[in-house]
Amino acid sequence: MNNQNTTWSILVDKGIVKGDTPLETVNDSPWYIKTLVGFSGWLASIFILGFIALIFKDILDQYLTSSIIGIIFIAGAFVLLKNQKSDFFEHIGLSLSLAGQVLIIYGIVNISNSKEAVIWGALFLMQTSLALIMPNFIHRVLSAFFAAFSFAAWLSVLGMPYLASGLIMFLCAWIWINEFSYPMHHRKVVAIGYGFALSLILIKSPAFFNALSLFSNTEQLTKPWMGETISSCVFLYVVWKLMKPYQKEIPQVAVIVTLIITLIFCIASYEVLGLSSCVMIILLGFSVGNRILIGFGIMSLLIFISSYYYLLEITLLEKSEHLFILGLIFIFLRWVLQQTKIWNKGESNE
Amino acid sequence: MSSNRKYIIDLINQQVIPSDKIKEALTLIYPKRGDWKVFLDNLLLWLGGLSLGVATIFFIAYNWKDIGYFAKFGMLELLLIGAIFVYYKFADHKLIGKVSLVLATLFLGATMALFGQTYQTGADPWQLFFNWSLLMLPWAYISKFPAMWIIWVVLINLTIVLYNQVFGGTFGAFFNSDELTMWLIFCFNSLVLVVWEILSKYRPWLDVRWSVRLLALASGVTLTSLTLNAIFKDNTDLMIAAVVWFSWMGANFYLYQKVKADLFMLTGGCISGIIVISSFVFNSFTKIDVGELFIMSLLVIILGTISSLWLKRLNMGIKS
Repeated sequence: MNNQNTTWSILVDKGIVKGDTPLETVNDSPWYIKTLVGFSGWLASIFILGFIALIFKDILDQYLTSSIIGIIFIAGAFVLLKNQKSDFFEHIGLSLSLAGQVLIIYGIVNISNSKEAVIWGALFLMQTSLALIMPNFIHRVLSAFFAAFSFAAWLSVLGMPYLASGLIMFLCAWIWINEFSYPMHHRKVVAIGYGFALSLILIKSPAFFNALSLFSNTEQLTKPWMGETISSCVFLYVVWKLMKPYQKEIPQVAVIVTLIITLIFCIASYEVLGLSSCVMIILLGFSVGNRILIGFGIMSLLIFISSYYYLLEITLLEKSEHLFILGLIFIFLRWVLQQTKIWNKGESNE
Repeated sequence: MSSNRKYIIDLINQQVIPSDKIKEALTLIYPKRGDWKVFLDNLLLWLGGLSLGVATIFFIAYNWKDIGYFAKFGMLELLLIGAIFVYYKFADHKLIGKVSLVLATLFLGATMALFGQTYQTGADPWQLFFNWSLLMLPWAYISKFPAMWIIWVVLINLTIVLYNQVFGGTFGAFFNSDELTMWLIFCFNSLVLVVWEILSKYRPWLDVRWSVRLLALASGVTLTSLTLNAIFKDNTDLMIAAVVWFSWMGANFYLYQKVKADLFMLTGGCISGIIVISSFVFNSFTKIDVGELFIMSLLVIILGTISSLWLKRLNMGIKS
């Protein structure tokens, strides 16, 4: 509370706000309470599905009907979440929507004769629409997560694996860089940003890389280096954007040197799949003071390092070489940072 | 890092900050150049240390025959001495000392693995992790760094799992081997959690919430799984699991509401409650039909609603 009063005083001094501190604060609950709501909604949706399956067991054999029932469920969930009067209706809305989504997927799987490309494509379109339309934070996080995941699977099935991770990395970066560009839609933007960040961690993991062969049984038109090249470009874009607010204060040469150093890091981490995305999430989190995002990044970094051991593409000796070179580069970059004085100026927030 | 983020966003959402002043208000959230320097310094040091440590472990795990064991031992011992030397030189540095001790711990693990590869002692894998945890203890003690103790806890957990894979059958007449492993993991993590919470009163460096929450998560997840096992499998004693689960829940709700407010722990307790209560009710049905499934969906929604309402009220109380 003291911290809030201090911040309020600073805002008053700068002429941004006037008067006393507002008494009411927005009741935005921490992420773990949101997780509880999402979890119980998901658990309830399983029972709702069973309940619906038993009631409409004859009708569900007609796949079009099951899809229509699913759409009605989602429409009902939309109304409940839009006019959210209490937590009870939020839970019912989430459960109904999740159950409705499964019914639609069930219909699509059967109507398309289990054609993977159609299923993943439809899933991607459905989840993207839901992430944009559904008026609920938790729903948007879940839908954005599944939209990004199904997009990766869809491209893999179409014979273009590895591309999606770079594209999702770009979308994730763009969202967090522009977090405050649309203040009226801030909550929507943040929810979709979290969904993409979570999905990116999964898609960039060595386990997912190993599993890509399960998705793609057609001829592969893309190679891993293509995905990593897009990722490197995105990383450079992020560093450039993060430096932009400081470009008036630091010389042009320093900007160019930083971008060259970033490029060296990108090239060195080419074979260490996923590392650049973990570091990017940490950097983006720090740039907007978002501890949850930093936590995601650190957690994914630790998971990534422990699962890198199991990546089948290269031997342990090669992995060891890559990590050793990267380690030396990191230590060297830190030494360069210590030697340069461009970052020394500028007061600290703490 | 700025801790103003949540408050400024609250003010923007409430439209207390006019739209033309938002950009200016956001400057309180963005880090200054000095913050970036400290942050990048820390990040690069950790990334460098972790990469070198993991690279060494991978190198030893590859078991490269072109290099003799003598050379490998020499290399590892040099790295170990180097890391300890860096700690000795920078013990007072806020970060370098800690990174060098973590690195020394990783090198120690690699040395233990190489020892096993070289002498083919016939020892079981659990001994590697047990010896590793034992030998790193003095470093964990002097580090005054929670992450070092978490590494120690992880090593003991691995030791328990691997030990029971070998000797679990010894107690087969009394316990299911997997369940025994989980009970031991639950007991160990709960014990560490209690000791950690008590000691954090006297050692401020231990009072880091992420580490305590991690321990509580390990303890809670294993106990919830054990209780579910007891509910769904007839061969387990439901009474023991129920007594332990109720005691754990009671202690959790009392301590983290009355003694040391921590909503994360209470949320974990609520999730465990939703899972266990709904599983118990589901298992008590003699047949599963439309009515039962309807009751189940309603029950989960009601439990979730009550939990989130209660937690949000507590959150408001803590805020004010």
